Parts: sequence; structure tokens; C-alpha cells
Amino acid sequence: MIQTIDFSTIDLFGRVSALGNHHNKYLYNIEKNFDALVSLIDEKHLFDQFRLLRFSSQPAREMRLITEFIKDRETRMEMLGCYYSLQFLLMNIKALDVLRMNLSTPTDRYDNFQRFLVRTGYDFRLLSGAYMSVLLDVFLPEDTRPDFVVCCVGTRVDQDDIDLGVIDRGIKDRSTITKAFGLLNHEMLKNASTLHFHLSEHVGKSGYSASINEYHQLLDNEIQDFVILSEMLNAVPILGRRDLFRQFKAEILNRYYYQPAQDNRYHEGCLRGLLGEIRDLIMKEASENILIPKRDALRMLKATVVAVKTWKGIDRNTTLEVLDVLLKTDLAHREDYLRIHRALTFFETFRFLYQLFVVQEEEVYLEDEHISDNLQKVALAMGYEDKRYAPAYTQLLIHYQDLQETARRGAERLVRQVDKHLSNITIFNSITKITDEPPNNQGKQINIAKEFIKRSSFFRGTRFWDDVFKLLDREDMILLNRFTGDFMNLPGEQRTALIKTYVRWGRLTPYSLISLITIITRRRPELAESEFIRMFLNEYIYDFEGTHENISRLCHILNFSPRMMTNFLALLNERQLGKLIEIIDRPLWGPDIIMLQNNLLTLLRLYKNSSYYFQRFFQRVFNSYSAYISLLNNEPKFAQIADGLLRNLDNFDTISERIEKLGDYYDFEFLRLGIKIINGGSFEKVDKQFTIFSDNFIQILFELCREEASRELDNDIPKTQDLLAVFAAGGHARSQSFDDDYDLIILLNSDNKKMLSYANRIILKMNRHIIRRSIMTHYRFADRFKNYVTTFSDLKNFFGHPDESAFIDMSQLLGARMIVGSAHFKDAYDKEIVRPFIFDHKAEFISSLKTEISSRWKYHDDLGVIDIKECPGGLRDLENFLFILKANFSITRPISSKLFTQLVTHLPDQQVRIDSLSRHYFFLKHVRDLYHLMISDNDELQKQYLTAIIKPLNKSRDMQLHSAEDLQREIEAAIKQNVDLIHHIFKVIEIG
Amino acid sequence: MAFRYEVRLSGSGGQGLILVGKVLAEAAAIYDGLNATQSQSYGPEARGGASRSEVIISDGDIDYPKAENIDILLALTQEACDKYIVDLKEGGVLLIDSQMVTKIPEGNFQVVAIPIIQSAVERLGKFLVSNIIALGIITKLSGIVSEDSVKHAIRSRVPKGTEEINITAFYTGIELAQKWLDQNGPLNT
Repeated sequence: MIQTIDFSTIDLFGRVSALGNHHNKYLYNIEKNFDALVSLIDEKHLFDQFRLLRFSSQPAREMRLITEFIKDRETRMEMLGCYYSLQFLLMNIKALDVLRMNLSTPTDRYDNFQRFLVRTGYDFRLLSGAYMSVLLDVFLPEDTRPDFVVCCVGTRVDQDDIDLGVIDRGIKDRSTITKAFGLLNHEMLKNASTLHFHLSEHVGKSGYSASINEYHQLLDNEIQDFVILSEMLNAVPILGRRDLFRQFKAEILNRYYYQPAQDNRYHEGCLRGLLGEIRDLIMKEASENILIPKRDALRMLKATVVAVKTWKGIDRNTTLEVLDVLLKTDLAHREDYLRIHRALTFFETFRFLYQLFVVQEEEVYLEDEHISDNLQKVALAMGYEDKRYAPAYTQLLIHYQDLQETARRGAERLVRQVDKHLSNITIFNSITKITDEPPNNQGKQINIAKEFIKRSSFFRGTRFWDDVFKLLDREDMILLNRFTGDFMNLPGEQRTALIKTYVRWGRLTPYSLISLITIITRRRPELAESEFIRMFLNEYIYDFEGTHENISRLCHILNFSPRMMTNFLALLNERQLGKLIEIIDRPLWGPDIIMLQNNLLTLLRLYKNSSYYFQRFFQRVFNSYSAYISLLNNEPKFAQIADGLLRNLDNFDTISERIEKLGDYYDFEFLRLGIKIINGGSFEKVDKQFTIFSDNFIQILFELCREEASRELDNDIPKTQDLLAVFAAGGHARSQSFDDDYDLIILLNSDNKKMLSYANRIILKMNRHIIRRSIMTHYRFADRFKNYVTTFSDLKNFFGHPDESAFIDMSQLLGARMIVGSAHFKDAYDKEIVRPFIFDHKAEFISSLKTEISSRWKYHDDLGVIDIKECPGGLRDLENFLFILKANFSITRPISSKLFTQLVTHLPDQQVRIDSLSRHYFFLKHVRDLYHLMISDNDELQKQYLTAIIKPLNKSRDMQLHSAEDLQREIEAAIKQNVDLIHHIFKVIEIG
Repeated sequence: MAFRYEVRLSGSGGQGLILVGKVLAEAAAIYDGLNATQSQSYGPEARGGASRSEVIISDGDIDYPKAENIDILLALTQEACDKYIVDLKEGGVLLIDSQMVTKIPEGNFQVVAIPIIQSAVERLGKFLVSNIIALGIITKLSGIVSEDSVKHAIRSRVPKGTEEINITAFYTGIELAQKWLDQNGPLNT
């Protein structure tokens, strides 16, 4: 009678159906061959020798039995594959059951994860090792077998593939070994996990194996790729000649461990590779849409542990084993190791279970419609339960995010320790530890710039140089001066060649190159414009290869070190910025990187399309609030931050802190609105918002400076209620945005000396703080009356005996807008100053202004440039024209769209003309704003630069301009028409 | 004499090319009874966003594991195209995403340009299935594995719940390849 196996007793098919579809392969093998296998076992009366309903503890023995009683090779392979498939499924079911049991007891979750990973890893290696060993016996029988050792170099628990390194005695055995491993690989692909021979892809010649000599040839003279190193350092022999592995360890592996008082170049290279990888990973911000456990935490954690392992000389293989030792021996950093342990066990378990239950892929796309169901399976297996406040998978995702932060913190803290160790042992110490003393005459002084690059060639491919650059960035600048001096003192050709070498080096490690350039220019700003830095930048930009990898690196640098990146971009000229935009603006794959790419492009375009004047503002914001650079494309968020800065002022204890933050608020708003108008936002809205924030700034600054001045006077504070006011004059009075100067009129309706001194003290303080924002303040009448503050008496005396230029002062007053002051003050001002001295003498005032207009028309005729402010029909003419009408109709309202509307009520017959003037006025102001922000804070428009402002004008004003010539024609037509319209209105109406 | 067919799938990390490699290899080895090996990118190239997966299919033993004489190269990014074109054999097929790869290298090979990612988004509303559309195109163009085997292998590799959309994506790829062949004539293989 044939014995049978009843899988229903263990619900094998039911249990497996809950796992990922990739288990179908194993079910397929079982369905295809299991009955035949059972018959064959039964025929040989070996049923009691096999464990077929539970995971076998002796799979190698059972597989060998199969090979013994099945002689036909093809059948043998089929039956072995079937047996492996069955044991593989039983193993995973066992692992899940044990994990579930352990997690149901009140023990530490992370310890349970560790036990699960260790046990499952052990079982998987036991099973897969047995399968490989039995197959190799078939493909490469013992008696014909050359020497080799098979090392496992990957994570033990990984089932998606098995990473192997095979070491042989040389090329003579290669084809025999490769043929056998080719057959082995095929069987593994069909019935188990694919084998990957990464080490031999990089080391040695054709084949699945490489010799120790080939490792020497590749690794003796250059550190090469750290990924190869970390795989090698994890190698555990599983099959073949152990003596060969011992030799490999002694000759190749041991040199990557720290050896006190010996040559530690290999160890240093290994650390530079690992720390570079860790820093690159820390740079990458957690993604909103995708979870990638390897990228999010595992690589970083493992690299950190391998770095500490080689430093402390810990002879253990897996990351968890090394961590166990460190937790017991390095008590000073126990907390960091515990953090790493928690994160590592969590992410490793998550990744394993996701691949078990869902798919053997690294990326977990959260937008996938089935993701909740799939993650729920993983969450339940990890011990989470549905709660009223959140389902299990939501809790899992929250833990995922938290532990990602934990992983990062743990890794960062340990990296600092490794960095310190690195700075003690580096081979660069002999050139970087220098003093300021002149060189002794006994030997020629080495050129540090050349020597650094020479020595670093051994470390090609590594990306961590922070320890060296920290020395370059020291306050004393001894090393920096020597480095730059050595560089610049080289003869021309040598210097050029060395710059090219540095740039080649920097292609692999852009963070380091950008760091180097920004340290030099920050410490020695005079070099920013030098030929030396210009060549560096040209070489870098024009040689920049726009690959996905290179672009991603730049994007991540911006994300990680926004201040450094903006300092770097600020060094680039327009052509270099243009070139970089051209390179970076290309299709990339992946929503996360596209978001970062857009941020970088926005920033590059901002630098390229901004005047130096505007750059001053955003550079200040970037220096103080660099973290917000990522929000450049998010204007509402930017506005929220600015509002927050304003509301937060009272939370600071000192007045100076409040003033400092008030300044930041100003810069933030200036930047936000600048970007908005450059991007084609509504001119009217921007103008309005600009007026609000700049008025806020002056009002609060006045209050804070008054408070400060009052404190200095103790209790002896004069009462200035309804007597003191601040007026904006000039551009700010007319809501002119983005002006580079601030015209203020400070009026005091009192002759009290003490009050005047107090007011002057306030304004003096205000002045100091406004200038710090790179805005020039002009105090109208200050020159005339030798005081920041002008009293009503001063004005009355002056206007009572006016000189020939008094009409200019009158127009300033007529155009001024009160920012600080009371309604009582304004009434007194209108009654005592405006009405008696301007409105009541409007004929003289109007006549003077009309003469001014016509004389300037003569002067500016045919100057060859468009001075948008001063040219005939320009902004000044329009404003003077408006002053004339204001005086004529006794209107005190400042210049605005409402003033134009009001004028139409006085001159209904001229509505069409006034509307045209209004349209032209705001168009010209818009052009001027854009020109100031994007080209130069100059009112003389250079025709060749007008192209830059066409795009935002077209977008905002719905225009169809195609070229600079189009825009120039539009401006010229507007100003010409303005002249005619003003002339006509003056002619047809009775003025004065 | 045994045939040997080499496929290289290249692009960017996250495009699912490793999965396509596994599906193709398993279709050949498990369901079509051929020999197959599959390998994937490793080291810094995988760290930097580039992704490469290779499949070698043969009806005999595969002694030499590295693909160096590629019969069909799939390139989903410009970088991958520039980097891996060197190993495409004379007369081989360069299959590119026509939107991601705009600079086509010169050489003695046949170029098949199809908007793979765009088709995934427009026809199936998911860029994530671009890889399976590419697999359909390769299956049709190469004829090296049977459509049924690939279909089985897809079902055995993709996450539960996504089987149908992936099968639809596979047939979308077959259809796009057929359309290309109708318009341009058969490939010289």
C-alpha cells in the first residue's frame, strides 16, 4: 500500500494562499511532482526517514537520500526541486507561527523581531545550503572538484535572491566551476531563489568565481567600490575549502580593519566609502508615496554597523551579531546601538514580511489601490492589532516613519564618532596639520593642493571628505590660505590641469566639491570673482553630465544642505546658470525626484532671472531660513510662514530680537512677492500686499524703536500723542513695490526741544535697522532743516518764504501717505500745512510743476535710452500730472487707482484719456518692478535685457509679446501717448 | 547548436525592471522548459538610481553568465540607453521609451521607439505597470518565450489583487508591439 500525505492536516495550500503570488512557483512544483516523490519514497520504504508535514531539521540528509535512490538525473532534479519547494513553504509557515506566538506574549517587540530574523535566516540557510550542496555534488562531484569556497555575502534572511561570492585558486579551474554553477543557478531559479554572484561580476575574469590574486589586482592600489567591500566583510563560508577562505581573510579582509600604529589606508578607504554612503542616504528625505526599507533605513544602519565593526575589530558576521557585541562592550554609546537595534529589527522584519506576503520588490507604493489590504497582512504578522483609533496597518506606517527618524538619529550620532576616529588615523594628517610658521629651509615645502589630490587617488570612488574640509574651514584659515595659495601659485598650465583633476574627482562626489568651493569663497569672499574660482565653476558646469544619478545628487544636496547649495548657486554667472538649467531640465523617473528637481530648477531660475538687488534679499532669507527653500514652489505656505514670523514677534524677550525677526519678516515677504510677480502673478495684488507688509514693517519698527528710546529715557518720556507722525513719500507713498530706497517724512507738530530730541532718537534707531536690510532711507527735509524730524514750524517758515524749488517739497508732501500717526494729526496737517501752503497757492504750484514737465521733456528728448521714470511720458511725468490735478481739485488721496477714478468725477469729459493714462501708469510700473527684480534696480531700461520680463508680463497682463522689440514698442507707444494725453488734458481744461 | 538569447532591461530604480527580469527568466525556465539565468545591477550603479536586469535564455547549458552580446536592450531612460548601448550586438534591437529617450545613439541596430510610460498612464491610469507593458513588447518582438508562459509567470510574481491589471498591461504591450510591426515591418532576427 502506498503511503500518502494529507496536507489538509496542516492546511498547507490554505496557508500559502495568504502569502504572495511568488509562492505559486513552489506550489506548482509540489502539484507537479509530489505524488511521484511520495511513491518513490514509499517504494524504497523510507517513509520514516522523511519529515514532510513539518519543516525538517535535516534537509541535507533527506535530500541526499533522494539522490541515492533516484538514479535518473532529470527525475532526481525534479524530485529535489519538489522536496525543496515543500520544505521552503513549511519553513515560512513555521516562521510565521512562531513569530505570532512570541508577539502574543508581553515581551519586547524588537527582541522578538530579532529572534525571528535570526531563526528564519538560520533555517533558510540550512535549507538552501543543503540544496546547493546536494546539487553541486551532482554537477561537480567531489573527485573532480577543484578547490573553491562559496561564501554567503548577503543578508541571511533574504529569500528573493541569495548573494554569493565564490573564491577559487585561479583561471585554470574557472570554466569547470562556472559550468557547475551555471547548472546550479538554473535549478535554483526554477525551484528556489536566484543566485547572484555580485563579487565576481566586479572581480576577476569571466565566470562565477574569482581568485585571491584577482582580488589583490583589483583592490591593492585603489579602494574601489565600498559596496564590494561591505559584501566581502560580511562573507561567511558555507561550502567548500575553509582554508581558502582563511587565506582570503588574512590577505584581503583583515586589512580593512583598524590596526593600531600601522598603515590604515585600507581601513580609511573603507570608512570613507561607508560614511559617504551613509551621508548620501541621510540626505534623501523620506518619501510620501513610496516606502523603500533598504533606502529608508537598512543600508544606512548596516553601513554604520560595518564601519564600527572595522574600527573596533569585531569578528562577527551579521549586523545583528555585531550589534550584540557592541551593546555589551561599548557602553558609552549603548543608547545609539539600542536605537539602531530597534530600527534594524523593525525594518528588516517589515521588508521580509512584505516580500513574503506581497511581492519580492523593494518599493512599496502607497498609492496602490491594494496597499491597505497588503500592508494589513504585514501589520498583523508584526503584532499590530486593529484599534478603535487606527487599523493595524496605519499604526505600522506611523511606526515606520518614527523608526526612520530613530535610524537616522542613531546613525548620525555614531557617524560623528567614526568621523573623529577617521580624523585621527587619516593619511592626510601629515599634510593638513600645519602651522603658520614659515617653512624651514631644509626641505622643499610640499604643495598641499597637489598632494591632496595625489593621495586621494587611492580613495577614488569614496565620497566622504568632511573630516578634511573641516580643517580647511577652521577660523584661523591657516590651512585654507596655504591650500589656496599653493593652488594659485602654480604656473598657469599646471593650475588648469589641477583644477580639471579636482573637477573629475568632484564628479563622483559633488557634495565634497561644492563644499570645497563654498568654504573657499565664504572664508575668502574676495576669491569669488577670481579667475581661479571662475575656472573651477566653468569646468564643473560645462563638464557636468546630466545623468539621472548626477542630477539626483544635486537635488539631494539642495534638500540636505540648502544653505551650501544656495551659496554655490550664488557664485554662478548667468551663462553658467543657464547651462545648468539646460542640463537639469530633462525627464526623470519617479515622483519624488521630480519634486526635488522642480525645487532645484525653481532656485536656478530664480538666480538666473534675478537682479543682484533681488538676490540680496533672497540670499538673506536662504541664509537664515534655508529649510524653507523647498517651499519656493508653494506660495501659500510661504505666506503662512511670513504671517507666523509677524505674529511671533511678541514671543521674543528683547527688543533687538524682535527687530531682527521683523527684518526677517520683511525679507520673507519681499521674496515671496518678488517670486510671485516674476512668475506672472497679478501686479495689482502684489502691489497691494507689498504695501501692507512694508507698512507693517515701518509701523512695528517705529513702535519697537520708540519703546527702546523710551527705556533709555527712564520715566522722562515726552507725550507725543497726536503730535508725531511718519509719512511714506516717493514710491512707497504711491504703493510702488520693490523700491530700493525708502523716502520718509517725519513730522512733529510741536517745537518742544525735548520732544524733538526724543523723536530724532526714535528715527535714528529706525534708520539703522532699515539700512541693515540694504534699503537706503531718505528723509525729506532732513538736509534742509538739519534734523530727521521736521516740525510744522519748520514747514511754515519755509513755505512762508519759498525758494524756487519749494514746489518739489510741496509735491512730496502732497504725494505722502501717513503710515504712523493719528487722525487728529492728519487733520491738523491738512489744515495747517497742505491747505494754506499748497491748495491755497495752487496756481504757483501748478505753474512750477508744468514748467518742470516741459523743461524735462526738452532735456530728455532723444537721449537714446528709455528711462522709464524720467523720460517724457514716463512715471515722473504721470505723477507730476497727478499732483497738478490733486492740487487743482484739492484732493489729498495718495496716488492709486482710486485717485484716477476720483479724477474722472471731476473731469468726466476726459474719462477716456484718464483711463488710458491709468492703464499706462500701471503698465509702466509693472515693467519697472519686473526690471528691478529680474535685471537691475535701474530705471534706464537696456533694450537687450527686456526679453527676460516678457513671460511674466504676458502671463499677468494677458499680452502677446514675442520679443524685446515688441515690448519696447509697447513701452514707447505708452510714453508717447502719455505726452500727448497730458498735453491735451492741460490744453482743454482750465487749471490753476 | 543551442541558441542563446540575451535581454538587458535598463532604466531607473523603481521602474520594476528586476521584476520583469524575474518574470521573463521564470517564464522561460519553469513554464517553457528552457534554461535561463537572471542577474541584476549591483553596487554604486544601483545606488545612484540606475537599474539593470539581465536575462539569458538558452535551450542548452548557460556556461558564461554575463550578457555581453545583447539581442534586445530595453532602455527606459536616456542615461540607461547611453550607458548600455555598447553591449548591443550588431543588428540587435534597441527598444526605447520614446518620451524618456530622445537622443538615439547611432549604430548598426534596429530601433523600436514606443511611448511605453505614456501608454501605461493613458490606457491603464498607472505608470507603475510600464514595466509589464515593456515585457509584453519584448515578448512579442523577441518571440523567445511563449505568451502563455509569460502570463503564468506574471501571475506568479505580481502582488495579489494586481494580477488582472498586470495581465491587461502585458497584452497592451503585445498590442503596441504588433502595431509597431504592422507599421514598420518585421524585425531582422
